[in-house]
Amino acid sequence: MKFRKRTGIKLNKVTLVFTGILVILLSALTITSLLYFNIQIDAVKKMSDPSYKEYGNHYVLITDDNQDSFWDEVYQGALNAGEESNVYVERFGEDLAVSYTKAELMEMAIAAKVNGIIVEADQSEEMKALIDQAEDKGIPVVTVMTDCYGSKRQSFIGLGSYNLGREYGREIIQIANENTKKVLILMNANTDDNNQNILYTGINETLSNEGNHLNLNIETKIVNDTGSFSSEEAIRDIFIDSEQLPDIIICLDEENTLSTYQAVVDYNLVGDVKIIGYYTSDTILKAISQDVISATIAVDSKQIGKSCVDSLNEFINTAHVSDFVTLEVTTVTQKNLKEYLNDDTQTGN
Amino acid sequence: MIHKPVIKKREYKIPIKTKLILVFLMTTIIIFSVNMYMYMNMNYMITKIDKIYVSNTKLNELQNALSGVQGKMTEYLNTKSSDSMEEYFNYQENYSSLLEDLNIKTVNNTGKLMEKNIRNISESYMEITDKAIQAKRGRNVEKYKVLYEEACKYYAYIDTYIYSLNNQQFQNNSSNYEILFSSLKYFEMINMLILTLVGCLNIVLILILTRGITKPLKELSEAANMVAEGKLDITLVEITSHDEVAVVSHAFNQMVRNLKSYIEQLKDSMESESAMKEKELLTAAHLKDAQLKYLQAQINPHFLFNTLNAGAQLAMMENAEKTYTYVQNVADFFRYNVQKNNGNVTLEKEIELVDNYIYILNVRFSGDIHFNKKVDESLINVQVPSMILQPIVENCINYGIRGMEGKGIIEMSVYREDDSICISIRDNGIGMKQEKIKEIMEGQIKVSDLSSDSNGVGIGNVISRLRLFFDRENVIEITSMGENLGTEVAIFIPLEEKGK
Repeated sequence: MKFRKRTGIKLNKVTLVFTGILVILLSALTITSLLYFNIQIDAVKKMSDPSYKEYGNHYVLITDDNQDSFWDEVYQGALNAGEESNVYVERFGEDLAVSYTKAELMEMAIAAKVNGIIVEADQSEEMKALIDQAEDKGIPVVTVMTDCYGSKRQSFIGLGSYNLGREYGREIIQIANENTKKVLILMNANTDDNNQNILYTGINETLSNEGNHLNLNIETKIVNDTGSFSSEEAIRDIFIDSEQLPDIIICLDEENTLSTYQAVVDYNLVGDVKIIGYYTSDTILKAISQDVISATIAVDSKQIGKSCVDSLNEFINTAHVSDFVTLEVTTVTQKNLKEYLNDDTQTGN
Repeated sequence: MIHKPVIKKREYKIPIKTKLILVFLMTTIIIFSVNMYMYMNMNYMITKIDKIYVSNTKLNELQNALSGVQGKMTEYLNTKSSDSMEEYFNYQENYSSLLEDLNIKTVNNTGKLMEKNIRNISESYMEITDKAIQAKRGRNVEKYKVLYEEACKYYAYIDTYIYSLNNQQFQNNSSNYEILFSSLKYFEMINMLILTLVGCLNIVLILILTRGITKPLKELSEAANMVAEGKLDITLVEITSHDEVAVVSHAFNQMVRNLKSYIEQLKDSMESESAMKEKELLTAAHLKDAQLKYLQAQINPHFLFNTLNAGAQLAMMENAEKTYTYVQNVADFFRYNVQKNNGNVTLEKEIELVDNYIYILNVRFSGDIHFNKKVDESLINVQVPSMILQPIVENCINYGIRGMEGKGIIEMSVYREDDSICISIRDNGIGMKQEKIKEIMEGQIKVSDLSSDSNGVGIGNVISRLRLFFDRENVIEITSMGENLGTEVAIFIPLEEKGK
């Protein structure tokens, strides 16, 4: 029996293939769209539920100025060191709408029952009382950069003001010649602060021991005695009287270094007034390469942060920690700038 | 052959209704599930957006509870009323329970860490407020004043903390809200796209699936149309499905097969009938042929005129002049019949035959017939069919002269008339009736009317042959003036046909 051969069998085949492709295409598109949709939805789900890591201990870093790049690096060093030892270090007060004093932040940290406090202390009674209060409540305190003598703090991590003074003194001797007469040291207004006195002594003794061939007149000027922004104004004042211009200006912090640098450039006194600065920010290093700043004290700020966390860890773990941790400082001049930068990149900073 | 598919059909039978339901169910399920999936996700997004500011609301609640605690503590310290103390404890309880929701762990997320600080500071704060309340109750004025100062300080810290966290979260939430809202719009578009795609897919699926149902129907209707047009030799409809259409298709195929076989049978019976008729006819033809062969066998003209020639020679040897002439004439007469094989002769030969015939008759009937001929000698070479004049003369003698009284005269003249040669044969016999003439001209004379002693060729035959030979109708004219006034038969041969 013969069966009917389909008419237009070719056309049917084409139609079949075409519809097949259409179905596959549509299905593929639909599935792709659905997968894409799913991925997007997942992304949204993740976005609104941020993941975070849990830590064992909670330390806080309390400093005067939250905007300073020096303290930023210290904090970064502390944070990294904490990460290794299951500790989270908080830059206390950073996220608050009100800017509190160190004392207030200390009080808050104590009330917040943190596990450890790192504080840029001072010699005030209030600070001393707060440190003691914290220690009484079982919160170990380490002071950093500036100490609070006589308090119950567990440890002080700093550069050692006398050493720092000697570094400054040696740099003055390097830069000075017969014509150099006046050296101006820019001081901060914390009258209670013993550190500046020790530093000053350090400079003086170095100059009298190693630089007695020079006839130098050392002066100090307090620049931040009248509140916010006063130091910059005070530094500008120095340059107004051209008769009284110092030959060398010693800056003891980053802010003053930058202000002095800017003033020297503005008054067109590059080469006439030499600067020995503090800290190695990008701007300062650039100024050194241009010989606007003669030398600067390089501090390994990350190492400071790490030492703070290490000290607190050590105390919490062993109930004992060394009372005083001094960190080495180096001086960066145009001569060893390249070396310094190489070292810096090698250590990954 | 028929039963097998029936059994099969029963096994796999899926009715069209079920098929259609399956098709629509399938597509509906696809659409529904995709829609459901999208709807759930979109719903999740919307809930997310709804909940985005919940953290802010909670913080506001927290702040309200805190100020409640602070307010009631102050009120109590001011008034020492038991109402305010009770309210203080209520607020404190509320505040504590709200604090429970805050994070207590040390984590590297700013917001969460702030929550921890708020919680811890708040606990410290509540210790102080509790102590302050205690001191007030113990009338320890100095102490509660100091504690109050401290509580105020802590209160301010917490307030700032909550405010800051609130701010931060609000910023976070706002950006999240924006992202969510924009993604929601974006998802709506994807949603539309996917739904459109699924819709298209469904349409294609429905087309494909319903095609499987309608296609056999279409094929069946096409085949039915072919059958309706009478094309029974179409190939049978292929049965691919196992539904109602298959049943109909099967019945249709059966019908076509039956129709075919029926027509085949009909054809067979018709063929056998016609074969039988043919056989009959053939038998008759053979019979005629046999009769003819028989007749031919009986009369062998060669034999006859050789015999006659021998007779003529014998008569000459015996000096019987008249007998010799007679036998010679008879022999010539028959020879003529033998020689006319090709059917065409000259007019002269025809006339000679008439002469022979008249001579023979005159011997038979002792010179009763007077034969006069007047022939234009220039016309005698014209070609004519053989045996046309003799039958006419025989007719004149048999029907015209034989029955008459007195002397029979036959006159033959050959002359030219216009474009034709006219051969006229006239007798003075009894003449012919007009009806008879008409009958002869229309060829209605039957074979049986021929007289027994004729040579078998009738006038009808002559007329027919003349008409065929010259390919025209008016080749002969028979005229009779009436009874006993004789008859004239005139043959007209077209002159231009002379060469034939």
